[in-house]
Amino acid sequence: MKTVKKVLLFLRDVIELYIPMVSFCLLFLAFVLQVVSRYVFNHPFTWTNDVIVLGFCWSVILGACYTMRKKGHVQFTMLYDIYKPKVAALLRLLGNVIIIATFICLVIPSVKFSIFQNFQKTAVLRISLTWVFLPFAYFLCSVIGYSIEPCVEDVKVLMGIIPDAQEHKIDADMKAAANAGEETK
Amino acid sequence: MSLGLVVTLVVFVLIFILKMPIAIGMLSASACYLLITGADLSLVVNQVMNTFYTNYVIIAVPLFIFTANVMNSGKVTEMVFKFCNGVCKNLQGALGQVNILGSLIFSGMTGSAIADAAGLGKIEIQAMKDQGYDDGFSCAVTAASATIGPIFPPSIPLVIYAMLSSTSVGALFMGGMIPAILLTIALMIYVGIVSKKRRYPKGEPISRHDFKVFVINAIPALLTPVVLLVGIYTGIMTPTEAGAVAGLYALLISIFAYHAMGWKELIEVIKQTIKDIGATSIMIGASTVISYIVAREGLASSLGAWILSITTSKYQFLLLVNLVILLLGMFIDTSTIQLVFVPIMIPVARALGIDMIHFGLVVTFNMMVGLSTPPFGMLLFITSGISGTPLKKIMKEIMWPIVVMLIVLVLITYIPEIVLFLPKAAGLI
Repeated sequence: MKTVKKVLLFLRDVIELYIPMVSFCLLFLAFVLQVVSRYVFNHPFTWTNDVIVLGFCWSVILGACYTMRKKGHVQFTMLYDIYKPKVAALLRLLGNVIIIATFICLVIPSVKFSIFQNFQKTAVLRISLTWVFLPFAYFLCSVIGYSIEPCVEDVKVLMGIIPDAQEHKIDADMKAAANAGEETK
Repeated sequence: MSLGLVVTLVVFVLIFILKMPIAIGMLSASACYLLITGADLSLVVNQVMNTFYTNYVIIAVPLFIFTANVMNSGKVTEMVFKFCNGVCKNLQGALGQVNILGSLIFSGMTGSAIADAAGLGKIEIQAMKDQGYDDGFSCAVTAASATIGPIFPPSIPLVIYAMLSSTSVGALFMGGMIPAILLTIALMIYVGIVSKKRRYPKGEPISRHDFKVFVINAIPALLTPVVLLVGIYTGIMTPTEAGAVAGLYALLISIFAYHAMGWKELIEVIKQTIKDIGATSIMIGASTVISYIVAREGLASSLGAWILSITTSKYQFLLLVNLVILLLGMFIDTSTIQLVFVPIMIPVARALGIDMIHFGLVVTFNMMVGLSTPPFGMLLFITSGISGTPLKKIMKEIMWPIVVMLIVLVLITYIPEIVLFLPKAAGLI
């Protein structure tokens, strides 16, 4: 069981971190090559455009999953921070339920649409556009997955098993520390 | 107003009440709309991915984010700081002036206010504290000067605006130069006045030899904006390609000139970049779905007609826009303002005959002021976090820099030539 979990976690890293990192590097190098080929060799490459666009789509969408894991998406926390622990838990739970429900509805249409795009290819490398659109379906599943964990935590807070959600506690502590002038790091 | 739109708006409000990640919440709101109106749900994937697939300009965003992260991880910030220290040593409140001048130079490399405050700001605040400057003042000046970042080219928000309004990135970049310099001068005057009043010290004397060393060490870093701007305006590269070239240049100087980056650091920088672009770009994608709904429901045109029924004066409209963005900026993140509210304003501005380059600079400048306005000014939190200074102290000191920024905002709003002079002179508009 432990090995399976390890393999799955590694796979998650591959999809959400290593592939976006490699995609970004490829996009970056393709851009540099594009400029060099045009102005140094006077012979512009055409395939670089395909690599750039594909690299961009993959690094952005799969990177957004990593951002979700690291809780790096922009959030409006002013109100959440001032709620009492149980109110905060209830409201965050409601938010996550909305996300999970709507994203579940989006998964199948997104997969179908991505597969449908198979008839279209990129201009030079002739890569199927399914590969451009399909990561979005993974992104939806990933967001659903990352939204479940806080739901469980919030249910525990509401049932009185734990006093406060970790994120709410940290936010409240940081706010107090900032106001008191303590080291917040 | 259709039921679908009402539910979408309700979910949109809930994003802020329920602490949903804004981009994810926007996608949820869009899905609700499509479900209620019975539209095809695959529209979400179609809109989001097509935006990424077909919009070449926004690829510049991750590239500039990467450049900013490279600059902050190497010794570049330190070199810029030492150079500015040498330049401003004879001025009253020298370190305050260094803070502002440093931001102007750094802004020519990264185009991100957050990168400026978190990178250069850390060194600046510490140095100012060590010389007896008030903590709140040090943080407030750092936050205000970081605002210059996205005004002076290159600029991530201006690239996004170019995508939203279909305007030239090159013209926008050039339009930002004079406002950024104007803001620099205004903030330096403010720091000079406060320093005289509070008797903040002049800089420590630096020998001619040391200054020469600082200048020589800083040259590779100082050349970044030159490489970028010359590349763009001579037509050698597009602004998007310039993002990649700036990133490559930043990498090369960090590795070879400053010996400050190895494989380990590079991997960390790429990891951080992925995290940052994930947050920024998905917001752009989600906003396109919202824009589709706004267009389908005719919301923008209704709003436009309503505004035009109140006023047909572009100056009154600009005043209204400024007030709305200032108010929103106090509570909402700049990317949300730019990607949700600005697209609604653009058609009205166009109908009133406002130049899109001018409008872009006005809204971008205003949004950057919002980064420093309490209670939800991102730069206030960052400077507080990196320095351990109480927010209250920073909020007290930030008021006057905000007034200074607002004065410059009024100037660029009502004297469009401040923005348009350079792009016109260069034949870009």
